[in-house]
Amino acid sequence: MEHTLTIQHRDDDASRIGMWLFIFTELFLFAGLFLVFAVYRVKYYEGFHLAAKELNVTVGTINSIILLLSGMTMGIAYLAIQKAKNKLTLAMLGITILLGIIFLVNKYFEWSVKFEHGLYPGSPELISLSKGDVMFFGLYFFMTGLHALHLIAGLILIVIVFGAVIRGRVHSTKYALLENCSLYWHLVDLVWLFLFPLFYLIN
Amino acid sequence: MMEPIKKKVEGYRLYMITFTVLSILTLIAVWLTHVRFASPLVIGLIMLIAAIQAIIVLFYNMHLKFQDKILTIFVGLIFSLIFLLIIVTMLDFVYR
Repeated sequence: MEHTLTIQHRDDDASRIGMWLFIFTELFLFAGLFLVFAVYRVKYYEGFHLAAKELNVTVGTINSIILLLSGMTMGIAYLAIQKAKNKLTLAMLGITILLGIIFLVNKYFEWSVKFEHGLYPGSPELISLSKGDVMFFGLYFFMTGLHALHLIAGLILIVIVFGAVIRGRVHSTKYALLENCSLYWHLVDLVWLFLFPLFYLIN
Repeated sequence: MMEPIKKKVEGYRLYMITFTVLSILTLIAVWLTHVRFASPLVIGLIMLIAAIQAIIVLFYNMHLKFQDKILTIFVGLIFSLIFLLIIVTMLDFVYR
């Protein structure tokens, strides 16, 4: 009788390094955009100064706290899975998803107000304003929009991890997927830590 | 078996403490915008706070503190490169 032995290859360290390499590319992407922002801020100082006053600091602050809180729940989920506390892991992942959605809803309302005021790229109202205003709102929509896209990708990833925990594919001795998902979510957090002061606070 | 970290990650309290510190720093940054200091000083302080927050997120939330030193060095190099890129471009732009 013939027996076959299947050994599943797994290299969690390589998986983690791969995730960090991906994070480095993302950091360079946003660094390039921050550089563009800095250059145009120097060039159109007055326009940026006035345009930044149109943004709601309170909404921005609330969104910052929401994102920081979601970072905490994600961290707890990461620790809970290592301690084989699957229910706590699922609860924390669920709260993280909820907080991410709240962030997006806030962003939707924030953007809606700007659209109502005609402050969106290509609008007749915005074109009639100074070049600084046009550049500021162009960068604002592009950079916060790109960040929101990253957040949506993070939410999809968390939903996948949530399902994997339920099905037992992610557990206390095999949690690389959750760890990488957590790293990605904290990257989204990290980018917002610089987007918030640049757009909302420096004016 | 997974060997995720060289040192042991602290308990849930670690994440609660980092959240509290990060939130307080965010509120300080918001408060600074209402203080009538010289504008460049305020901008510098706000960006310094953002940098401190980033370091906290990298070291505690992203567990760099508990990983191999080589990864910390890599991350440090990447951030130094980004910092250099921004400074050199800005100097070129301003003094051209």
